[in-house]
Amino acid sequence: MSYLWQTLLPFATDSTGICSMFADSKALIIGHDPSSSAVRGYQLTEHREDKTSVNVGLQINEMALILGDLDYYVEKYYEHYNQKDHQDCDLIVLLHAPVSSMINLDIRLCAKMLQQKLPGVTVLPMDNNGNRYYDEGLSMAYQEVLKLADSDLKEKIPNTVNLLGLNTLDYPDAKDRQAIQEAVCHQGYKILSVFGMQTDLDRLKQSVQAEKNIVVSASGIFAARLMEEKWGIPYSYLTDFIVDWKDSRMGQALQAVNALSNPKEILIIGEQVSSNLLRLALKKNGSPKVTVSSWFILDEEIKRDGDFVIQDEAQLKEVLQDPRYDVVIGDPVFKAFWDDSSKRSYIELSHPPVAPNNRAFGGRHFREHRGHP
Amino acid sequence: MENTQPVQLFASRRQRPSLSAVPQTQTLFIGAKECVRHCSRRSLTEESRAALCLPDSEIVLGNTEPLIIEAIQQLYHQAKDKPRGFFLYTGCPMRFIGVDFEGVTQTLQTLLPLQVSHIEQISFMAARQSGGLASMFSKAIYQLLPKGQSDKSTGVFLLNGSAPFAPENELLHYFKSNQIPLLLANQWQDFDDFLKVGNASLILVTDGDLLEAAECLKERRGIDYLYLPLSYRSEEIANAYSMLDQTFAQQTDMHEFFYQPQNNSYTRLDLDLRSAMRPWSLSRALLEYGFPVTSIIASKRLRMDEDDHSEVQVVLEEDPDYQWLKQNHPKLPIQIESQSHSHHQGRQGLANGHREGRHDHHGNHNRPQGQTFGEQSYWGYAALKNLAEQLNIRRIGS
Repeated sequence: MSYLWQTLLPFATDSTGICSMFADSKALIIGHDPSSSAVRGYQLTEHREDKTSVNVGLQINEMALILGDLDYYVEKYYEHYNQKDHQDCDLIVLLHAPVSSMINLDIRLCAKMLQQKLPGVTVLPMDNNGNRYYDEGLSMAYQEVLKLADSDLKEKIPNTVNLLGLNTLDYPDAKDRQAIQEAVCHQGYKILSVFGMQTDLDRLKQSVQAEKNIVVSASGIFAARLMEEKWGIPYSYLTDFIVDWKDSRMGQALQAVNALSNPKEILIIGEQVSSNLLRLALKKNGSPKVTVSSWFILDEEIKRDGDFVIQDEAQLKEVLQDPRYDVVIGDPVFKAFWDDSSKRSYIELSHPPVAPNNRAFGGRHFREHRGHP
Repeated sequence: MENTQPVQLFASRRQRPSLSAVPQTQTLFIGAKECVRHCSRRSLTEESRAALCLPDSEIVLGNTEPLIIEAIQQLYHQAKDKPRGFFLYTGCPMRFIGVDFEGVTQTLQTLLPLQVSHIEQISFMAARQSGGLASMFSKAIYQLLPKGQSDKSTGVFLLNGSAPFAPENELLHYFKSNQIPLLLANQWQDFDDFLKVGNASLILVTDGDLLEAAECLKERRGIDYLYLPLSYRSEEIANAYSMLDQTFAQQTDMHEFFYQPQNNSYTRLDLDLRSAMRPWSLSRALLEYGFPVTSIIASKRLRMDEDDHSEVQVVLEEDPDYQWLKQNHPKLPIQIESQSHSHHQGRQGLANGHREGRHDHHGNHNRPQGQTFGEQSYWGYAALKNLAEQLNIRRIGS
């Protein structure tokens, strides 16, 4: 049954992607819900030392949500902004909670009303719903930020690029992120802005003057197409660059595969662009067939024959038990369905949206004794 | 004696009852993915075996009920050890859309040999009357019992929370010394053991948060209950013993237990009552015993309704004591703060009846030896003795 999660915890949702994007900015992120679930889910997924954003829940009661008094909500947002530690925030992000999304609260209108009260602050509404995944949240956030850019600004800054989708959820290891930036700069480019982290609204508004966009994770694909359409900025993928992963998280996964003796078929379960990068590196070493599968965005443009989307646990179990794949690369939590007695190899490549790396919040699903249902 | 730091009077670490305390049951969480992840952060999925994350499209098209039934059937048939009970734990969207859980429960109980209970996560600020999560979870546990009439064959049932009563607890001592059989919550070996609760002759409740669960048992099984709250006042404790003696035809010699704290050293007393049970009753009792309570740190309100703008946490039962304080000590400063950090320091805490550890706001915690986790050792006069120990005062009284 596709909606049923029996062993794994459902993965990080769109609100987590949005919170992650703005985590290192002076943003006040307000979840329109009574129990702060919109922002607390993010805290389960990653813990960042460089976090400067403030995440709060609106903490309204049931009747307030039913009555749908937008003036009341805006007053509550305003109250949050006026709290002692929030007043140096220059950006307010309004998130839906599952309930507010389901009853179609007009969060855009709320954002407009709040903007009128706070002219010196940027207010961004998000159309998250608490059921889509983190990458769609990231993608949504990129597109909302692009709405702030001047659509008539066509002048380009030579040799500059934007990295679309360089985020801490898909690339949790700082060494991975550094390797990517080095690969791009090595080609003579200057990085104008990054979509996914280090969010600086002025730089993001300036991003439309980049000469080129480089899509670093699947979350950046839609923003790339939008910028091509609106500002004429061409885009390519990180797979066009040679990345020296060294001993980063990606590098270690590659080394682990290379240490195996001639695997015939490899399955990678992960985010699409980074998985494609691994595939490229593995094929160079002579691996004959590499298939990429993902729970998340799997775009047709960069999909290869045989790549597929994983819909549910039953399919994951089937895939992991498929004897075709000599090697599977994926998050450790998928090993709940792995047959340890098989002679095949499982290479661990952690992916925070799939399993939290903050042990303080690890629930039952992340204990070592977790087994099959 | 002058205390420079607020004395944190630490009662048993209060936890919500755990659904997994009922053996041979499973829990299905139904809600958005975000709700499931949020609950797991709070470890509410400690007992959660599965989650059903329905997209909005299924919910608004009215497919929720059939999908829940399908999910439970799948979970049941796939389980190696068949569960005897299921908890349906739902998040806010389900409440909003008005899912027919009664119908789902009845259908499931027809299709499968199961008892089903629905627990609704009301994340919205609930009214003051609600006992919060402890009440919700307790009620859900006893809603698993089939409706009917108790045959009163299994003895008295002590409905306590998840923290077990320590063996030296005065109330347990009463039953042991009078040889009255007592069933305890959270010690069930299997589901049939749990079902024995349904044939209890009487329910005893000591925690106000669990009164709703007692009402539920009364409604479902026709079992009366006796509320004997933890108290810090001698006359209330004496009254509780009288009620017990009357109910069980006993005669307790109060002199054996009687104790009343007296202030012999404090010139000022600043209290941190965020972790204390019945904090306002405690404050009033201390003042009446002659302790110079000079300030109180109280919990920030976790619940509110539209008409209540108070920020202080005061449950209805304690309202008279809170009003007494406001009227008789209007200048007593009451500082409102979030729940004490000690609640979030993992599974560490003090048992009642042990010496208090001083807790300051930097997290330094001087823990005495011999502490255990989460056992409530006091009830009755032991509450006062414990209080005296925590205040480091010499015991006075016969």
